[in-house]
Amino acid sequence: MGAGKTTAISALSEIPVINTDVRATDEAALRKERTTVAMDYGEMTLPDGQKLRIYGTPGQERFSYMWGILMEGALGLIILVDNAGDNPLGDLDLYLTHFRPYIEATTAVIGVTRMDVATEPGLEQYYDYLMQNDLQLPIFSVDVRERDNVVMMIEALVAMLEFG
Amino acid sequence: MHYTLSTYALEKRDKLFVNSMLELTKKKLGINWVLDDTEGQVTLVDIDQPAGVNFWEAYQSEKRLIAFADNNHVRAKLFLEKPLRVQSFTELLKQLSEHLDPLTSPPNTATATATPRSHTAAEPTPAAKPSLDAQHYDPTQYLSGLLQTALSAQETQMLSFSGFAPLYVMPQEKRCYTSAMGLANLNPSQKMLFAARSEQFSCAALNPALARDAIQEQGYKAYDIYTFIWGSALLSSNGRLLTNHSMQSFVRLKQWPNFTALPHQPTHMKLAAFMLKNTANIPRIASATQMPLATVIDFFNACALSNLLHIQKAQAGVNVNTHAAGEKKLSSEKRGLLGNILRRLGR
Repeated sequence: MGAGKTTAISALSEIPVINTDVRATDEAALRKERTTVAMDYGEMTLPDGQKLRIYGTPGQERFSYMWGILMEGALGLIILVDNAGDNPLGDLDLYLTHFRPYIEATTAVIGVTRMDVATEPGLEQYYDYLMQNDLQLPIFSVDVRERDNVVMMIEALVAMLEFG
Repeated sequence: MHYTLSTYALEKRDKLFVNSMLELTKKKLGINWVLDDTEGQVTLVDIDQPAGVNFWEAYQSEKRLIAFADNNHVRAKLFLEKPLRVQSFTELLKQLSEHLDPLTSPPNTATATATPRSHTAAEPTPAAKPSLDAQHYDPTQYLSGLLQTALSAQETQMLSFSGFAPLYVMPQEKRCYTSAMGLANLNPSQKMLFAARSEQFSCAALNPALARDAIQEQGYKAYDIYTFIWGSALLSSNGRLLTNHSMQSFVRLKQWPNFTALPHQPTHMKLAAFMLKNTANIPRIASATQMPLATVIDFFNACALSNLLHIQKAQAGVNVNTHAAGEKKLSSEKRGLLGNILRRLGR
Protein backbone atom coordinates (compact mmCIF):
# COMPACT_ATOMS: atom_id res chain seq x y z
CA MET A 1 0.00 0.00 0.00
CA GLY A 2 1.21 3.49 -0.79
CA ALA A 3 3.74 2.31 -3.36
CA GLY A 4 2.15 4.41 -6.11
CA LYS A 5 0.20 1.99 -8.27
CA THR A 6 -2.54 4.50 -8.99
CA THR A 7 0.03 7.20 -9.85
CA ALA A 8 1.96 4.81 -12.11
CA ILE A 9 -1.15 3.88 -14.06
CA SER A 10 -2.10 7.55 -14.34
CA ALA A 11 1.31 8.21 -15.92
CA LEU A 12 0.47 5.85 -18.79
CA SER A 13 -3.29 5.91 -19.18
CA GLU A 14 -4.89 8.08 -21.82
CA ILE A 15 -8.19 7.99 -19.97
CA PRO A 16 -8.69 9.25 -16.42
CA VAL A 17 -7.84 6.30 -14.20
CA ILE A 18 -10.91 4.56 -12.94
CA ASN A 19 -10.37 3.46 -9.40
CA THR A 20 -12.16 2.41 -6.34
CA ASP A 21 -10.15 4.34 -3.80
CA VAL A 22 -11.82 4.72 -0.44
CA ARG A 23 -10.81 6.56 2.67
CA ALA A 24 -8.36 4.37 4.55
CA THR A 25 -9.16 3.34 8.05
CA ASP A 26 -7.17 1.50 10.75
CA GLU A 27 -3.33 1.66 10.57
CA ALA A 28 -3.47 2.33 6.85
CA ALA A 29 -4.93 5.75 7.50
CA LEU A 30 -1.71 6.79 9.18
CA ARG A 31 0.20 6.39 5.92
CA LYS A 32 -2.25 7.24 3.21
CA GLU A 33 -5.56 9.05 3.22
CA ARG A 34 -7.03 7.06 0.33
CA THR A 35 -6.10 3.55 -0.70
CA THR A 36 -7.11 1.19 -3.49
CA VAL A 37 -9.33 -1.62 -2.27
CA ALA A 38 -10.42 -3.28 -5.50
CA MET A 39 -8.52 -2.08 -8.54
CA ASP A 40 -7.31 0.77 -10.71
CA TYR A 41 -7.95 0.72 -14.41
CA GLY A 42 -6.32 2.65 -17.24
CA GLU A 43 -6.09 2.28 -21.01
CA MET A 44 -3.64 2.93 -23.79
CA THR A 45 -4.52 2.71 -27.49
CA LEU A 46 -1.81 0.94 -29.47
CA PRO A 47 -0.84 1.98 -33.02
CA ASP A 48 -2.93 -0.83 -34.52
CA GLY A 49 -6.03 0.28 -32.60
CA GLN A 50 -5.85 -2.42 -29.94
CA LYS A 51 -6.40 -1.32 -26.35
CA LEU A 52 -3.81 -2.13 -23.73
CA ARG A 53 -5.65 -2.42 -20.44
CA ILE A 54 -3.67 -1.61 -17.34
CA TYR A 55 -4.89 -2.89 -14.00
CA GLY A 56 -3.60 -2.04 -10.58
CA THR A 57 -4.30 -4.70 -8.04
CA PRO A 58 -4.75 -3.85 -4.39
CA GLY A 59 -1.60 -4.06 -2.33
CA GLN A 60 -2.97 -5.21 0.98
CA GLU A 61 -3.06 -8.93 1.65
CA ARG A 62 -6.67 -8.89 2.78
CA PHE A 63 -7.63 -8.02 -0.80
CA SER A 64 -5.53 -10.79 -2.27
CA TYR A 65 -8.64 -12.49 -3.60
CA MET A 66 -8.47 -9.87 -6.39
CA TRP A 67 -4.95 -10.75 -7.42
CA GLY A 68 -5.72 -13.96 -9.23
CA ILE A 69 -8.75 -12.47 -10.93
CA LEU A 70 -6.84 -9.56 -12.39
CA MET A 71 -3.83 -11.66 -13.38
CA GLU A 72 -5.82 -13.99 -15.58
CA GLY A 73 -4.61 -13.49 -19.14
CA ALA A 74 -2.27 -10.67 -18.16
CA LEU A 75 0.67 -9.95 -20.46
CA GLY A 76 3.03 -9.10 -17.62
CA LEU A 77 3.34 -8.01 -14.03
CA ILE A 78 4.98 -5.00 -12.41
CA ILE A 79 5.34 -5.15 -8.64
CA LEU A 80 5.75 -1.86 -6.83
CA VAL A 81 7.21 -1.99 -3.34
CA ASP A 82 7.08 0.97 -0.97
CA ASN A 83 10.53 1.22 0.54
CA ALA A 84 9.21 3.49 3.26
CA GLY A 85 6.70 0.86 4.36
CA ASP A 86 7.03 -1.12 7.59
CA ASN A 87 8.52 -4.21 5.99
CA PRO A 88 9.28 -3.75 2.30
CA LEU A 89 11.20 -7.00 1.88
CA GLY A 90 8.34 -8.80 3.62
CA ASP A 91 5.90 -7.17 1.18
CA LEU A 92 8.04 -8.30 -1.74
CA ASP A 93 8.18 -11.81 -0.32
CA LEU A 94 4.40 -11.86 -0.02
CA TYR A 95 3.87 -10.78 -3.63
CA LEU A 96 6.56 -13.01 -5.12
CA THR A 97 5.34 -16.03 -3.19
CA HIS A 98 1.80 -15.44 -4.33
CA PHE A 99 2.67 -14.66 -7.95
CA ARG A 100 5.56 -17.12 -8.35
CA PRO A 101 3.73 -19.55 -10.66
CA TYR A 102 2.72 -16.67 -12.89
CA ILE A 103 6.23 -15.16 -12.84
CA GLU A 104 7.80 -18.48 -13.77
CA ALA A 105 5.42 -18.78 -16.70
CA THR A 106 5.95 -15.20 -17.89
CA THR A 107 7.99 -12.60 -16.04
CA ALA A 108 7.78 -9.60 -13.72
CA VAL A 109 9.53 -6.32 -13.04
CA ILE A 110 10.04 -4.85 -9.58
CA GLY A 111 9.94 -1.13 -8.92
CA VAL A 112 11.06 0.07 -5.51
CA THR A 113 9.49 3.40 -4.68
CA ARG A 114 10.17 6.09 -2.10
CA MET A 115 13.85 5.23 -1.74
CA ASP A 116 14.38 8.94 -1.21
CA VAL A 117 12.26 8.72 1.94
CA ALA A 118 13.78 5.48 3.24
CA THR A 119 17.21 4.47 1.97
CA GLU A 120 17.10 1.08 3.72
CA PRO A 121 16.74 -1.60 2.54
CA GLY A 122 18.98 -0.71 -0.37
CA LEU A 123 18.70 -2.27 -3.81
CA GLU A 124 21.49 -4.71 -2.88
CA GLN A 125 19.20 -6.27 -0.29
CA TYR A 126 16.49 -6.72 -2.90
CA TYR A 127 19.03 -8.33 -5.24
CA ASP A 128 20.14 -10.61 -2.41
CA TYR A 129 16.55 -11.60 -1.75
CA LEU A 130 16.00 -12.49 -5.41
CA MET A 131 19.25 -14.44 -5.55
CA GLN A 132 18.36 -16.44 -2.44
CA ASN A 133 15.03 -17.27 -4.03
CA ASP A 134 16.56 -18.13 -7.40
CA LEU A 135 14.68 -15.38 -9.22
CA GLN A 136 16.20 -13.28 -11.98
CA LEU A 137 14.07 -10.20 -12.35
CA PRO A 138 14.67 -6.56 -13.21
CA ILE A 139 14.64 -4.17 -10.24
CA PHE A 140 14.52 -0.40 -10.45
CA SER A 141 14.48 2.36 -7.92
CA VAL A 142 11.65 4.48 -9.30
CA ASP A 143 9.68 7.61 -8.77
CA VAL A 144 6.33 6.75 -10.32
CA ARG A 145 5.44 10.43 -10.57
CA GLU A 146 8.03 10.53 -13.35
CA ARG A 147 6.50 9.10 -16.51
CA ASP A 148 9.95 8.13 -17.81
CA ASN A 149 10.45 5.86 -14.82
CA VAL A 150 7.14 4.11 -15.46
CA VAL A 151 7.92 3.77 -19.17
CA MET A 152 11.30 2.28 -18.26
CA MET A 153 9.62 -0.48 -16.25
CA ILE A 154 7.32 -1.27 -19.18
CA GLU A 155 10.33 -1.37 -21.49
CA ALA A 156 12.05 -3.80 -19.16
CA LEU A 157 8.94 -5.93 -18.97
CA VAL A 158 8.68 -6.07 -22.75
CA ALA A 159 12.39 -6.90 -23.03
CA MET A 160 12.03 -9.70 -20.48
CA LEU A 161 9.02 -11.11 -22.31
CA GLU A 162 10.89 -11.03 -25.57
CA PHE A 163 14.46 -11.94 -24.60
CA GLY A 164 14.52 -13.02 -20.96
CA MET B 1 42.51 20.84 -60.13
CA HIS B 2 40.62 20.31 -56.94
CA TYR B 3 40.80 20.13 -53.15
CA THR B 4 39.48 17.30 -51.03
CA LEU B 5 37.36 17.34 -47.90
CA SER B 6 36.68 14.40 -45.57
CA THR B 7 34.01 14.29 -42.92
CA TYR B 8 33.92 12.42 -39.65
CA ALA B 9 31.02 11.57 -37.31
CA LEU B 10 28.64 13.86 -39.17
CA GLU B 11 24.94 13.14 -39.01
CA LYS B 12 23.48 12.00 -42.31
CA ARG B 13 21.56 15.23 -42.77
CA ASP B 14 24.72 17.34 -42.28
CA LYS B 15 26.61 15.11 -44.67
CA LEU B 16 24.02 15.79 -47.33
CA PHE B 17 24.28 19.53 -46.68
CA VAL B 18 28.04 19.40 -47.03
CA ASN B 19 27.72 17.62 -50.35
CA SER B 20 25.34 20.21 -51.72
CA MET B 21 27.41 23.09 -50.35
CA LEU B 22 30.48 21.80 -52.13
CA GLU B 23 28.51 22.06 -55.34
CA LEU B 24 27.49 25.60 -54.42
CA THR B 25 31.09 26.54 -53.66
CA LYS B 26 32.12 25.35 -57.09
CA LYS B 27 29.36 27.34 -58.80
CA LYS B 28 29.76 30.44 -56.67
CA LEU B 29 33.53 30.71 -56.34
CA GLY B 30 34.76 28.45 -59.09
CA ILE B 31 36.78 26.43 -56.58
CA ASN B 32 36.44 22.70 -56.95
CA TRP B 33 36.17 20.96 -53.56
CA VAL B 34 35.19 17.32 -53.58
CA LEU B 35 34.24 14.94 -50.84
CA ASP B 36 36.83 12.21 -50.27
CA ASP B 37 36.34 10.27 -47.08
CA THR B 38 39.41 8.15 -47.59
CA GLU B 39 42.06 10.89 -47.59
CA GLY B 40 40.80 14.45 -47.53
CA GLN B 41 43.19 17.36 -47.28
CA VAL B 42 40.89 18.74 -44.62
CA THR B 43 38.47 16.86 -42.36
CA LEU B 44 35.23 18.26 -41.00
CA VAL B 45 34.60 16.62 -37.61
CA ASP B 46 31.36 16.72 -35.63
CA ILE B 47 32.79 17.21 -32.15
CA ASP B 48 29.34 17.03 -30.58
CA GLN B 49 29.56 13.27 -31.17
CA PRO B 50 31.68 11.13 -28.81
CA ALA B 51 33.39 9.46 -31.78
CA GLY B 52 34.12 12.89 -33.22
CA VAL B 53 35.73 14.02 -29.97
CA ASN B 54 37.92 10.93 -29.89
CA PHE B 55 38.90 11.55 -33.49
CA TRP B 56 39.65 15.18 -32.72
CA GLU B 57 41.85 14.24 -29.78
CA ALA B 58 43.73 11.68 -31.83
CA TYR B 59 44.34 13.74 -34.94
CA GLN B 60 44.28 17.41 -34.06
CA SER B 61 48.04 17.68 -34.17
CA GLU B 62 48.47 15.54 -37.27
CA LYS B 63 45.69 16.53 -39.64
CA ARG B 64 44.02 19.71 -40.74
CA LEU B 65 40.66 19.52 -38.97
CA ILE B 66 37.59 21.72 -38.93
CA ALA B 67 35.55 21.43 -35.74
CA PHE B 68 31.81 21.35 -36.34
CA ALA B 69 29.60 21.86 -33.29
CA ASP B 70 27.13 24.04 -31.45
CA ASN B 71 30.00 25.69 -29.59
CA ASN B 72 33.72 25.79 -30.17
CA HIS B 73 34.47 23.98 -26.93
CA VAL B 74 37.78 22.64 -28.23
CA ARG B 75 38.92 26.14 -29.19
CA ALA B 76 39.63 25.04 -32.72
CA LYS B 77 41.25 27.45 -35.12
CA LEU B 78 39.01 26.16 -37.89
CA PHE B 79 35.44 26.06 -36.66
CA LEU B 80 31.99 25.88 -38.22
CA GLU B 81 28.96 26.49 -36.05
CA LYS B 82 25.86 24.32 -36.30
CA PRO B 83 23.69 24.53 -38.28
CA LEU B 84 25.81 24.74 -41.41
CA ARG B 85 25.46 28.03 -43.25
CA VAL B 86 26.37 28.56 -46.88
CA GLN B 87 28.27 31.80 -46.37
CA SER B 88 30.52 30.68 -43.52
CA PHE B 89 31.11 27.32 -45.17
CA THR B 90 32.11 28.72 -48.55
CA GLU B 91 34.24 31.45 -46.98
CA LEU B 92 36.15 28.90 -44.93
CA LEU B 93 36.76 26.74 -47.99
CA LYS B 94 37.92 29.80 -49.91
CA GLN B 95 40.44 30.64 -47.19
CA LEU B 96 41.65 27.06 -47.03
CA SER B 97 42.10 26.80 -50.77
CA GLU B 98 44.47 29.77 -50.56
CA HIS B 99 46.73 27.79 -48.24
CA LEU B 100 46.55 24.34 -49.79
CA ASP B 101 48.15 22.89 -52.88
CA PRO B 102 45.49 21.82 -55.35
CA LEU B 103 45.42 18.19 -56.42
CA THR B 104 45.56 17.15 -60.01
CA SER B 105 44.87 13.42 -59.77
CA PRO B 106 41.24 12.29 -60.11
CA PRO B 107 39.32 12.56 -56.86
CA ASN B 108 38.78 9.37 -54.92
CA THR B 109 35.00 9.10 -55.41
CA ALA B 110 33.10 12.08 -54.23
CA THR B 111 30.09 10.22 -52.99
CA ALA B 112 28.69 10.79 -49.54
CA THR B 113 28.99 7.22 -48.43
CA ALA B 114 30.71 7.54 -45.09
CA THR B 115 28.29 7.33 -42.19
CA PRO B 116 28.32 8.96 -38.81
CA ARG B 117 29.64 6.77 -36.02
CA SER B 118 26.92 4.48 -34.94
CA HIS B 119 26.72 0.96 -33.67
CA THR B 120 24.83 -0.11 -36.72
CA ALA B 121 27.35 0.95 -39.29
CA ALA B 122 30.96 0.24 -39.91
CA GLU B 123 33.21 2.96 -38.56
CA PRO B 124 35.68 4.61 -40.88
CA THR B 125 38.85 4.01 -38.93
CA PRO B 126 41.87 5.64 -40.43
CA ALA B 127 45.20 4.94 -38.79
CA ALA B 128 45.15 6.46 -35.34
CA LYS B 129 47.16 6.78 -32.22
CA PRO B 130 47.60 3.34 -30.67
CA SER B 131 45.30 4.17 -27.78
CA LEU B 132 42.34 4.96 -30.03
CA ASP B 133 43.00 2.36 -32.62
CA ALA B 134 43.89 -0.42 -30.20
CA GLN B 135 41.90 -3.61 -30.44
CA HIS B 136 41.22 -3.61 -26.73
CA TYR B 137 39.63 -1.08 -24.46
CA ASP B 138 41.88 0.15 -21.70
CA PRO B 139 39.70 1.92 -19.10
CA THR B 140 42.70 3.56 -17.44
CA GLN B 141 42.82 5.94 -20.39
CA TYR B 142 39.33 7.25 -19.73
CA LEU B 143 37.16 8.75 -16.98
CA SER B 144 36.29 5.26 -15.70
CA GLY B 145 39.97 4.68 -14.94
CA LEU B 146 40.29 7.96 -13.03
CA LEU B 147 37.30 7.00 -10.89
CA GLN B 148 38.57 3.49 -10.23
CA THR B 149 41.90 4.93 -9.17
CA ALA B 150 40.16 7.37 -6.81
CA LEU B 151 38.14 4.47 -5.38
CA SER B 152 41.14 2.28 -4.74
CA ALA B 153 43.18 5.16 -3.29
CA GLN B 154 40.18 6.41 -1.29
CA GLU B 155 41.12 9.92 -2.29
CA THR B 156 38.56 12.73 -2.58
CA GLN B 157 39.07 14.51 -5.87
CA MET B 158 37.69 17.26 -8.04
CA LEU B 159 37.78 16.46 -11.74
CA SER B 160 37.40 19.37 -14.13
CA PHE B 161 36.47 19.02 -17.76
CA SER B 162 36.23 22.00 -20.08
CA GLY B 163 32.73 23.45 -20.22
CA PHE B 164 31.26 21.32 -17.43
CA ALA B 165 30.54 21.74 -13.77
CA PRO B 166 33.24 20.10 -11.63
CA LEU B 167 32.83 16.44 -10.78
CA TYR B 168 33.49 15.83 -7.09
CA VAL B 169 34.53 12.25 -6.41
CA MET B 170 33.85 11.06 -2.86
CA PRO B 171 35.16 7.48 -2.72
CA GLN B 172 34.26 7.06 0.95
CA GLU B 173 30.59 7.46 -0.01
CA LYS B 174 31.06 5.76 -3.39
CA ARG B 175 29.46 8.85 -4.88
CA CYS B 176 30.13 11.63 -7.32
CA TYR B 177 28.54 15.05 -7.19
CA THR B 178 27.93 17.39 -10.08
CA SER B 179 25.15 19.38 -11.74
CA ALA B 180 21.96 17.46 -12.59
CA MET B 181 21.76 15.51 -15.83
CA GLY B 182 19.11 13.33 -17.49
CA LEU B 183 20.78 9.95 -17.63
CA ALA B 184 18.27 8.35 -19.99
CA ASN B 185 18.75 11.09 -22.51
CA LEU B 186 22.23 12.57 -22.38
CA ASN B 187 22.81 15.64 -24.49
CA PRO B 188 25.82 15.72 -26.85
CA SER B 189 27.95 17.66 -24.38
CA GLN B 190 27.24 15.18 -21.59
CA LYS B 191 28.10 12.34 -23.94
CA MET B 192 31.43 14.04 -24.50
CA LEU B 193 32.10 14.09 -20.79
CA PHE B 194 31.46 10.36 -20.50
CA ALA B 195 33.52 9.58 -23.58
CA ALA B 196 36.42 11.81 -22.58
CA ARG B 197 39.96 10.56 -22.19
CA SER B 198 41.64 10.84 -18.82
CA GLU B 199 44.13 13.47 -19.99
CA GLN B 200 41.24 15.78 -20.84
CA PHE B 201 40.46 16.10 -17.13
CA SER B 202 42.40 18.11 -14.63
CA CYS B 203 42.39 16.35 -11.27
CA ALA B 204 42.88 17.90 -7.85
CA ALA B 205 43.00 16.06 -4.54
CA LEU B 206 40.71 17.68 -1.98
CA ASN B 207 40.04 17.62 1.70
CA PRO B 208 36.67 15.79 2.06
CA ALA B 209 35.25 18.50 4.32
CA LEU B 210 36.09 21.21 1.80
CA ALA B 211 34.59 19.13 -0.98
CA ARG B 212 31.38 18.72 1.01
CA ASP B 213 31.14 22.46 1.57
CA ALA B 214 31.58 23.14 -2.14
CA ILE B 215 28.99 20.52 -3.06
CA GLN B 216 26.49 21.99 -0.63
CA GLU B 217 27.14 25.53 -1.77
CA GLN B 218 26.63 24.63 -5.42
CA GLY B 219 23.63 22.39 -4.72
CA TYR B 220 25.15 19.58 -6.75
CA LYS B 221 23.34 16.30 -7.21
CA ALA B 222 24.64 13.00 -5.82
CA TYR B 223 25.26 10.13 -8.22
CA ASP B 224 26.51 6.65 -7.52
CA ILE B 225 30.15 6.53 -8.59
CA TYR B 226 29.23 3.56 -10.81
CA THR B 227 26.90 5.84 -12.78
CA PHE B 228 30.05 7.49 -14.15
CA ILE B 229 32.19 4.35 -14.37
CA TRP B 230 29.39 2.66 -16.29
CA GLY B 231 28.71 5.68 -18.50
CA SER B 232 32.36 6.18 -19.31
CA ALA B 233 32.82 2.54 -20.30
CA LEU B 234 29.64 2.55 -22.37
CA LEU B 235 30.49 5.70 -24.29
CA SER B 236 34.24 5.40 -24.68
CA SER B 237 34.60 1.71 -25.59
CA ASN B 238 33.67 2.21 -29.26
CA GLY B 239 33.28 -1.51 -29.83
CA ARG B 240 36.65 -2.47 -28.30
CA LEU B 241 36.57 -5.29 -25.79
CA LEU B 242 37.91 -4.65 -22.31
CA THR B 243 41.57 -5.59 -21.90
CA ASN B 244 42.14 -9.14 -20.58
CA HIS B 245 38.70 -10.37 -21.63
CA SER B 246 37.77 -12.74 -24.37
CA MET B 247 34.86 -12.65 -26.78
CA GLN B 248 34.46 -16.36 -26.13
CA SER B 249 34.05 -16.13 -22.35
CA PHE B 250 30.61 -17.09 -21.11
CA VAL B 251 28.89 -14.30 -19.27
CA ARG B 252 25.72 -13.74 -17.34
CA LEU B 253 24.38 -10.74 -15.42
CA LYS B 254 24.52 -11.11 -11.65
CA GLN B 255 21.73 -8.61 -11.33
CA TRP B 256 19.70 -6.17 -13.38
CA PRO B 257 21.52 -2.85 -13.87
CA ASN B 258 19.53 -0.12 -12.15
CA PHE B 259 18.89 1.81 -15.34
CA THR B 260 17.20 4.68 -13.51
CA ALA B 261 20.69 5.61 -12.31
CA LEU B 262 22.68 4.70 -15.43
CA PRO B 263 23.09 6.28 -18.86
CA HIS B 264 21.45 3.89 -21.28
CA GLN B 265 19.46 3.40 -24.45
CA PRO B 266 16.43 1.17 -25.05
CA THR B 267 18.62 -1.47 -26.71
CA HIS B 268 20.43 -2.03 -23.42
CA MET B 269 17.21 -3.32 -21.84
CA LYS B 270 17.10 -6.09 -24.42
CA LEU B 271 20.69 -7.05 -23.74
CA ALA B 272 20.09 -6.99 -19.99
CA ALA B 273 16.99 -9.15 -20.33
CA PHE B 274 18.85 -11.76 -22.33
CA MET B 275 21.96 -11.71 -20.16
CA LEU B 276 19.97 -11.92 -16.93
CA LYS B 277 18.44 -15.22 -17.98
CA ASN B 278 21.10 -16.75 -20.20
CA THR B 279 24.79 -17.60 -20.01
CA ALA B 280 26.39 -16.99 -23.38
CA ASN B 281 29.45 -15.55 -25.11
CA ILE B 282 29.43 -12.16 -26.80
CA PRO B 283 28.83 -13.36 -30.38
CA ARG B 284 25.95 -15.53 -29.14
CA ILE B 285 24.42 -12.58 -27.26
CA ALA B 286 24.67 -10.43 -30.38
CA SER B 287 23.03 -13.06 -32.51
CA ALA B 288 20.22 -13.86 -30.04
CA THR B 289 19.31 -10.22 -29.51
CA GLN B 290 20.07 -9.17 -33.10
CA MET B 291 22.29 -6.38 -31.81
CA PRO B 292 25.49 -5.19 -33.50
CA LEU B 293 28.57 -6.75 -31.92
CA ALA B 294 29.91 -3.28 -31.02
CA THR B 295 26.78 -2.52 -28.97
CA VAL B 296 27.13 -5.80 -27.07
CA ILE B 297 30.82 -5.18 -26.41
CA ASP B 298 30.18 -1.64 -25.10
CA PHE B 299 27.46 -3.01 -22.81
CA PHE B 300 29.68 -5.89 -21.70
CA ASN B 301 32.47 -3.45 -20.78
CA ALA B 302 30.10 -1.23 -18.77
CA CYS B 303 28.69 -4.24 -16.89
CA ALA B 304 32.14 -5.74 -16.27
CA LEU B 305 33.56 -2.51 -14.83
CA SER B 306 30.47 -2.17 -12.63
CA ASN B 307 30.94 -5.71 -11.25
CA LEU B 308 27.63 -6.87 -12.67
CA LEU B 309 28.87 -9.94 -14.52
CA HIS B 310 29.59 -13.56 -13.79
CA ILE B 311 32.34 -14.40 -16.24
CA GLN B 312 33.36 -17.94 -16.99
CA LYS B 313 36.38 -18.38 -19.23
CA ALA B 314 35.82 -20.66 -22.18
CA GLN B 315 38.22 -23.60 -22.24
CA ALA B 316 38.60 -26.24 -24.87
CA GLY B 317 36.79 -29.40 -23.91
CA VAL B 318 34.95 -27.81 -21.02
CA ASN B 319 31.21 -27.91 -21.22
CA VAL B 320 29.91 -24.60 -19.91
CA ASN B 321 26.60 -24.94 -18.20
CA THR B 322 24.44 -22.61 -20.21
CA HIS B 323 21.04 -21.66 -19.00
CA ALA B 324 18.63 -21.78 -21.88
CA ALA B 325 20.84 -19.67 -24.21
CA GLY B 326 18.20 -19.67 -26.87
CA GLU B 327 15.83 -17.18 -28.33
CA LYS B 328 12.42 -17.05 -26.75
CA LYS B 329 9.77 -18.53 -28.94
CA LEU B 330 7.13 -15.86 -29.02
CA SER B 331 4.23 -15.97 -31.39
CA SER B 332 4.39 -13.33 -34.12
CA GLU B 333 1.14 -11.96 -32.73
CA LYS B 334 2.64 -11.45 -29.29
CA ARG B 335 5.87 -10.06 -30.71
CA GLY B 336 3.81 -7.58 -32.73
CA LEU B 337 1.86 -6.61 -29.64
CA LEU B 338 5.04 -5.96 -27.65
CA GLY B 339 6.44 -3.89 -30.53
CA ASN B 340 3.22 -1.87 -30.63
CA ILE B 341 3.45 -1.16 -26.91
CA LEU B 342 6.99 0.16 -27.30
CA ARG B 343 6.02 2.25 -30.30
CA ARG B 344 3.10 3.70 -28.38
CA LEU B 345 5.50 4.66 -25.61
CA GLY B 346 7.78 6.31 -28.15
CA ARG B 347 10.59 3.75 -27.82
